[in-house]
Amino acid sequence: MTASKEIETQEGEAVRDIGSSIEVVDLKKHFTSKNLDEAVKAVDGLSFSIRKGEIFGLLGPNGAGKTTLIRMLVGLLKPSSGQILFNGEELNVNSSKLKSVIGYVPQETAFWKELTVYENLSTIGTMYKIPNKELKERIDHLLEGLYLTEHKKKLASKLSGGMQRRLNLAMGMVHHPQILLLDEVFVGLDPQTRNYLYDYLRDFASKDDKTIIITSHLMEIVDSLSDRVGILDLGKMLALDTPENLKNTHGKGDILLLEIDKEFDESLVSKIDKSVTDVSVEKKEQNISIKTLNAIAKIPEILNVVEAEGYNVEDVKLTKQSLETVFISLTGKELRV
Amino acid sequence: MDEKKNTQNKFFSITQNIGYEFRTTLKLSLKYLKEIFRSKLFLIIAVALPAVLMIFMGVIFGGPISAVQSFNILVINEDIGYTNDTITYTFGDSLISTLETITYPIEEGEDPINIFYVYETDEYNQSTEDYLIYEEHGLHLTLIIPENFSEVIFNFDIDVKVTVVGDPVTGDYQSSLTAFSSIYDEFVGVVRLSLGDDAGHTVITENYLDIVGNTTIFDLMVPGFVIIGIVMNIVFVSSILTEEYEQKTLEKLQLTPMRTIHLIGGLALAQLLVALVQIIVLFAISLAFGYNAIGSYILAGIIIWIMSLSMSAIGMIIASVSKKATIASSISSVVAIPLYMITFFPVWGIEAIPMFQINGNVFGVFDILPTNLATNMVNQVMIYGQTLSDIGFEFVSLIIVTLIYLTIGVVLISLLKLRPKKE
Ligand SMILES: Nc1ncnc2c1ncn2[C@@H]1O[C@H](COP(=O)(O)OP(=O)(O)OP(=O)(O)O)[C@@H](O)[C@H]1O
Ligand SMILES: [Mg+2]
Repeated sequence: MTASKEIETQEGEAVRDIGSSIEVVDLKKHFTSKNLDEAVKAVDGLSFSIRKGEIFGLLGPNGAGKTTLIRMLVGLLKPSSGQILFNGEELNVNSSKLKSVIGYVPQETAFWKELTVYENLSTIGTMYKIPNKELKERIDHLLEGLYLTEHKKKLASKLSGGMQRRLNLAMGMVHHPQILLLDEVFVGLDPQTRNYLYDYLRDFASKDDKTIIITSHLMEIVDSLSDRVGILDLGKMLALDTPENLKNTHGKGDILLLEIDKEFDESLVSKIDKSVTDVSVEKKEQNISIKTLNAIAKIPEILNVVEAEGYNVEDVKLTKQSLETVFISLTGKELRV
Repeated sequence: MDEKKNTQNKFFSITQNIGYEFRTTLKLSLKYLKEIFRSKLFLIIAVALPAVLMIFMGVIFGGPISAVQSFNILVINEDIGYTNDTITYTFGDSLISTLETITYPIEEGEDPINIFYVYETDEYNQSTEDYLIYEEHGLHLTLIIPENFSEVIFNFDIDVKVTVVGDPVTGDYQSSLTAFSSIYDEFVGVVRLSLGDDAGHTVITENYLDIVGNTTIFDLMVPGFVIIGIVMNIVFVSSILTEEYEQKTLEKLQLTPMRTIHLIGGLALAQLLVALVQIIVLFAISLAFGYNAIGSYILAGIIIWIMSLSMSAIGMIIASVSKKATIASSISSVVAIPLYMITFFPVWGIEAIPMFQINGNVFGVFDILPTNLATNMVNQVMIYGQTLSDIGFEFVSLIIVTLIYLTIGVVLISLLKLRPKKE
């Protein structure tokens, strides 16, 4: 990971530094549909850049626009407006050179059901013009790493769900892309494969300035894997920084989420704020979000205040300080896996 | 020295590139072949179904039939008559008036219908235009009464000969001939008896219009059966391509340096290989069930093979507008029906509607359908024994029509399926 760790880039600014490998300028994708009055603003004016050689994590709740963004980056989806630049040049969906350096693993698995695991990989590999002998070596290597060797002669339709996800993954990586975009690839993998993939990606990114863009619901993985993390919600980038900086700025302390049994107003919020020391309290939809250090010790005190005000707490959720607390404090939502 | 190396390198990289292009196409083609042959459904619709149909029809329609009630007969009466004891007999004329007067049915209450309508002409040259004359006048049979007809009838020891000319492919010829020969036998018998002799022999010499004899309805149907198998390829081409879209494997391919032409080429190549197998199997079955072909199987096979390319093109066109494989195969089945039916037009005697002409060669409205062109050509080749030079116009038309379909297919697929999506 060659990218520097310096703090940089706030939302809304296009950064044009030399080392950037992908640059997104005021990118928008609005979906219009007949049964909806309003267009869905899946991606709503994003500007940011991803540096060559970094692992870029993309966090966001369901429907945040992650997949939409990634599909535009790889050229599968036409943006409503805005620009995507690869090494300073506009994305050209027909450039065979560009296609050879991009690898994409979609959220939904896609492969040829009537072909075997090996045939799937060799078909895709051939499209990338990898010579036969080398292709065979690469496939064997990938299959071994993804624990698929003994299944390589199975028809893809006969694989288990997890194996299908591994095949899907291998198909996006067989050509050793310079830029790898992974959409929720950790979902549905067993810990063994997850670890392999984790190590593989670290190793992969450390060589020859390879860039990885990854979306995941698994905070710990994004946290420890990514050089920088972008937090996306409703098509907008809420924050973009290194995991360290994000935690320092937005996620200091643990987060308590209290679900209250009935409608409440700001008076309850300010009551808690006044009565309990060193907390920052916010109303987030139906919940009260309390940010504080050492939250466990404060739970009884907080519950007392709420009950004294005539409310009942239906549920309490505690999240220890992590990228997840950053996420919750920014979006007011938990990540659903 | 350096330059030489450079050109060598350049040459190497060009050949390598061509190699890659082929490899890409071949790999895709192989992929499609695997998918096709691993799906049992395909084997059923594309090979088994037409084979069963053909066997069935071979049994039922193995003989000539005719739906015509009255026959149009062209008579060339060359009989010069025979004079005996100052009386001149002209039996040729008598035969003609006999033909003109015989009617059926004889039952009461029904208007009698003539069996033959006679057209006469003085001179008749059997040339390549015969067929056209036949077509134009709807003639079923030509009768040539020889110069010595009356004389021979008078001479009791000699067989009485006439010549008939016809197009055995029509089936009507066979029927009109049967009707004629019984009337003719009767006529000669009655005349000779009246002259005081027993019936004697009659001989009919058959002349075909560049055609082999004994053509059956089944023979006319064979191209249709071979072609229906190929027409069914529309179903698998369109559904396999739509499946690719539906299952998002097309996106995976789209992201590789592969180009539309490789994809289309790979699929078309796979289809060609499948078609080759179909053509061989189906012609072999037709042969086993008594297909009377005198022409070149190779030429007929090539014609159908080229036609098969346009079927993959039609499949691609359907795939380009379908979002689901099930929809694609339904549309394909619907599209396949007229393409298939048209192969039976010659059997039903439906005539071509001309669209334009080049040097006297007529391009019919239905010829925009490659199956129509191919059926006619295969009949010309297999039944009339025509060669490539005889059907040159149709052959070139087929190639052009196929190229047009392919171009449309490639353009539509790349515009509608391989562009970045809007949704
Ligand atoms: N083809 C489409 N047509 C209409 N709306 C769409 C389409 N694709 C996505 N959307 C909408 O755009 C928004 C963003 O969707 P997207 O799939 O990018 O979310 P995501 O962040 O990937 O979510 P998840 O975590 O569930 O994968 C959602 O509201 C979704 O309903
Ligand atoms: Mg998604």
